[in-house]
Amino acid sequence: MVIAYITAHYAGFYSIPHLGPFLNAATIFTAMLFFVRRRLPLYSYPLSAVFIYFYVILFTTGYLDVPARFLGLGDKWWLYGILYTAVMIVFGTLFMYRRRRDRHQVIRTASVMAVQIVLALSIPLAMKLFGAREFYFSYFWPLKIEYFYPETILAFPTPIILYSFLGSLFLFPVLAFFLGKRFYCSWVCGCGGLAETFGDRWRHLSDKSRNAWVFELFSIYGVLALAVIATLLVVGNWAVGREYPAFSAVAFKTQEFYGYFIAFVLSGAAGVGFYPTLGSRVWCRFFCPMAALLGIIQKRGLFHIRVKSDMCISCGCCSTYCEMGIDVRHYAQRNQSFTRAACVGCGMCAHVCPRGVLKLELKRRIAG
Amino acid sequence: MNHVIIGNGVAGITGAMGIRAVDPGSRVTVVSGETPYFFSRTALMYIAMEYMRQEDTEPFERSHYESMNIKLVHDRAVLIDPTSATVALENGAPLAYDRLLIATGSVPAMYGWPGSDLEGVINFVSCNDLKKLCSIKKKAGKAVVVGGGLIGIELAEVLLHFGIEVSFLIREHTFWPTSLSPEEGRMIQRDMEKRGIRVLMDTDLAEITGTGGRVSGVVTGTGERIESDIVGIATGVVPDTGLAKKSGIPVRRGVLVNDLLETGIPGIYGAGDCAERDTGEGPGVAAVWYAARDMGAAVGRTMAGEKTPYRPGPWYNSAKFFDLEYTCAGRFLPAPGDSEWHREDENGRNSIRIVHSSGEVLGFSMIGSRWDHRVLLDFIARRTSLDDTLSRLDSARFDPELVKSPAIRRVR
Repeated sequence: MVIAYITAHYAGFYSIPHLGPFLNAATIFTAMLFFVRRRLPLYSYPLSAVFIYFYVILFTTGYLDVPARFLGLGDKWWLYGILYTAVMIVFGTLFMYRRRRDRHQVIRTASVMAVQIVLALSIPLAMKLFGAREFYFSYFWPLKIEYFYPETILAFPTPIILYSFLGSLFLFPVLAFFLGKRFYCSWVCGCGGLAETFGDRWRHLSDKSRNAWVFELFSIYGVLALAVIATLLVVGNWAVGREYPAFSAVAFKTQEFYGYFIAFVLSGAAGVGFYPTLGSRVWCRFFCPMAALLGIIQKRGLFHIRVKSDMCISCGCCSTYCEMGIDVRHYAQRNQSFTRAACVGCGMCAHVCPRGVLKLELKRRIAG
Repeated sequence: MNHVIIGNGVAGITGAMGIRAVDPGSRVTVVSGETPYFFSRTALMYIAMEYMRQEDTEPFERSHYESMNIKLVHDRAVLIDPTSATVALENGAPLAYDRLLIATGSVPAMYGWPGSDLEGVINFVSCNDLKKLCSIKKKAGKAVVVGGGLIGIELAEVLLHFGIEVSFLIREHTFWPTSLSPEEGRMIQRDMEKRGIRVLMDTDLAEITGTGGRVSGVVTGTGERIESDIVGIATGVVPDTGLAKKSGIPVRRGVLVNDLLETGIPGIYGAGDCAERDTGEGPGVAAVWYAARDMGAAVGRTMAGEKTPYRPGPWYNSAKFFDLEYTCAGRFLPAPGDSEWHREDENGRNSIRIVHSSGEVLGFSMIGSRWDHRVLLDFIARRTSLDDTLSRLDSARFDPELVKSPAIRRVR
């Protein structure tokens, strides 16, 4: 409903800023109530509504430019970036304290926080201050789809473009094969970073049902296909758009739609907005094209979760704590070591297992 | 063929699935008065601590039973009539059966202390116990837990989690002596005391005192009075044989069964905590998850016509005492004439104990880190010497990635 609402706005049927912030909040709140009517605990609606409302204001209005300018940050996106990093630092520190007995969790969280502070905030900010166009060294195509757009390629110096291309097309597939997609999703990525720190308290809300899994397969590979198509269209448009105006219009619309719907609505409003209702990894699980791509490679790679035979007591801690909605217990109680494309390798299932049944491993799979 | 299973615990449900694995066509009905769906009792403490919701502890998706054509009936079985081959239910119409499985599990062992029926006296094995605990845990300030075993320490952890002051009464000289060596028991005791639990060893319960129908405290065997709002009784469990006894099915401690888990009455089987194996070897009643699961799997196949005797493999078990993990395999306590190799780490939070005799390892007891019990059992099966075992012991480690167990040096 919210997504439909924002899409409608984008399509020009309905212009949110004209309604004023109060009416917006009321509309979105009502929409939320319809959207998630009965299966979720009541307390989670208002919080989701607040988060989504924040994103709608952020995307569609200039209100947040005012405090940003006041703080000398130029525009709202820098304010957002700093806020995002601050939230990650606060909740990441709390997470590390809570999980201090598990070295894996501490190191992993320190890694996502460090990457966010250095690569996703400080360096781009420094680049901007020195008058260059900012580049995010921790994001790659297809997550940052514009990094393969010709206009972006032309705007950056060759070493950065080489870095970006080698990262997307060579380094990431190789790393995902040998380490699993977790090297990115749980150790580097800022979207995952926010989910693992700020979103931690809602991780159990991810839907473990088979139906959710089916939806996930359609949605995530759908977005990946869309990302590839959008990239091809934009590149094609750059090459031959001048001669074919009709094609150019389609390419432009697709690019705009992708930029708005996928990058803003799904990764922002839905991705963070649904933390308190559908768990912390809504974007990563259902929509992220990078997760889809790395998942396909992970499935054929060395990473798997090893299950110690006959020791599972079916308590379900593993499944409960899986933010990606994987029913880990299903595999554990049938003594089946496994790899799932969705698994971001956060290691929480192994960490919370009261019988030490699970272990993240990088080996050719051993039977049993 | 019409299969009826009484009890939807791990033995009952694994039994139902065992029947299905052999016979896709027959009718399978599972009756339980406790919960409509199978839930994992082992997660009771996590529900109580609000780490999980009750539905998170259900090992199968609810639609799974329908897709396997297993019918679940939420009702209490009150009487089995072997002559007419029916089970009478508390509310619904009687169920006719061709094959019946009794998998009623166990009930807490209560030793008739005065005051046992006061409000605020709880057990910690069933869904009902959980409800009772949840209704009082946030109001209570002090609690007494009686019984130095696994359920006792779990209950103590739950109560401590809610900021309740816990006194832990243990009748024996060390914690859980039926499984742990005295050194290991003391290790757990030290950990509990560090967390603020008052552990009273060699202390049993004499009386529960109350005012106005509510618990006000306990009197220990040594005459000490302890004030308390909750008294948790965790002095072990006994087979739940009430239904079998009433229905004339042979019972000693548990429902008597043979290797095929058949009771004395044709068409009636018993499995899980409630069953007592009458085979003259090993313990007759084994009230652990793993045994119930394996019995269920075997009896299911037998009931569906594929005779599968239940032969327990070598013993292993696992537990968690607060955050100390525990694994044992084989003969975990020395018999007369056996020797022990025992090491603890500097902090006293990690220990390895190996039971051995005449040049062969016989059993392992590990606290504080994760081990693969199958590798340990393999050392035993291959009659490996102590020296060989020690040199290859690291191959049995199951530590999570990036986690290194501390060096085990100190000899105790």
